[in-house]
Amino acid sequence: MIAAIYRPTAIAAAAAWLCSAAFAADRVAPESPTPWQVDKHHFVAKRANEAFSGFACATSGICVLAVDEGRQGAFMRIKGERLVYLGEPFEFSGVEKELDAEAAAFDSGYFYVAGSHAAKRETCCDNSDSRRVYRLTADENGQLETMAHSERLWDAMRSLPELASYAVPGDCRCHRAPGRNRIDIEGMAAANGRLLFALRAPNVEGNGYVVGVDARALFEGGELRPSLAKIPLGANKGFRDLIIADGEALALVGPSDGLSSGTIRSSPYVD
Amino acid sequence: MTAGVAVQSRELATLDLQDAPLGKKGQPIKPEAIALIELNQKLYRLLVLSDGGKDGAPLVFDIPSTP
Repeated sequence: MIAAIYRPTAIAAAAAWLCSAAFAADRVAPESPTPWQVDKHHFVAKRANEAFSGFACATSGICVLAVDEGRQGAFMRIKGERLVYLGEPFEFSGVEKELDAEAAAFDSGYFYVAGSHAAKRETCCDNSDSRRVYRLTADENGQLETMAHSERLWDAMRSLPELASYAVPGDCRCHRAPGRNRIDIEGMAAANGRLLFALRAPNVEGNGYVVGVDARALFEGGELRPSLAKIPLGANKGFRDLIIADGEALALVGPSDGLSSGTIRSSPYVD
Repeated sequence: MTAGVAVQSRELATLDLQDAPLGKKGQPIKPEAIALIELNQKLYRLLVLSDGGKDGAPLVFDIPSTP
């Protein structure tokens, strides 16, 4: 069945994505170098306030925040040029130590938060807690209403021949392949019933990857219809985030080694 | 065809973080999340949150929709 669910059309369509990006894009400075204010709030994890890693907003103005330290997330609202917490941070159910939440998205009434599905970056040791995707709803006041989680994405990625050898649980061996080039989800977009997971790693011969699955099937069962987009990014680069905006896929791309800086790239989103 | 990202890519901009605040240990912040806060024919107004920055160091960038 692997051949049946592997989607060469998606790969072919996406392979040209970013190909025209060989020139150097303009540098754009922030509107102000002073960050927006963020209301003080205490997460259980000590370093959570310096570990914001995913953020996605509904049309209602309620946003979900993913944090890559600990096992909590939060709902927020943009108020002028401030981020305001809505209630207390919530706990992701079933996580023993650290979800390593790296990505957030919103579509059709649901918020999504994804764990990195990655081994520990420094040690390459396993973190099975990270191989989860959560689907959340919030009420009109930004209070958590429902929470469901899925662990099916890992097997879906393993079913894709081009990714299979990188979908390897951590083994505390950074020196042995795939080492630090194991699967590492860093961004996520949602649109029209699909969830798109943008990978920071692997980078294979200069190519990055976006994995797509059916959002409803991920949580309620059924065919996931996994797709794989192989995208030329350049050596040692990976996705940091991905959003769908007005028919365009906008990607934040940066060095896969975790250093600073980033570029914004766009491509039509095919429905 | 399966929905997904597609052809005709464009690199729109490089985020200039030269004057952005540093992290607690003096390290450069690392952009990790983008959210669209406004859209018109000419630009995407993005809120960018960064790992290593205090409370994500939220910064707004106006990214031209064409290179």
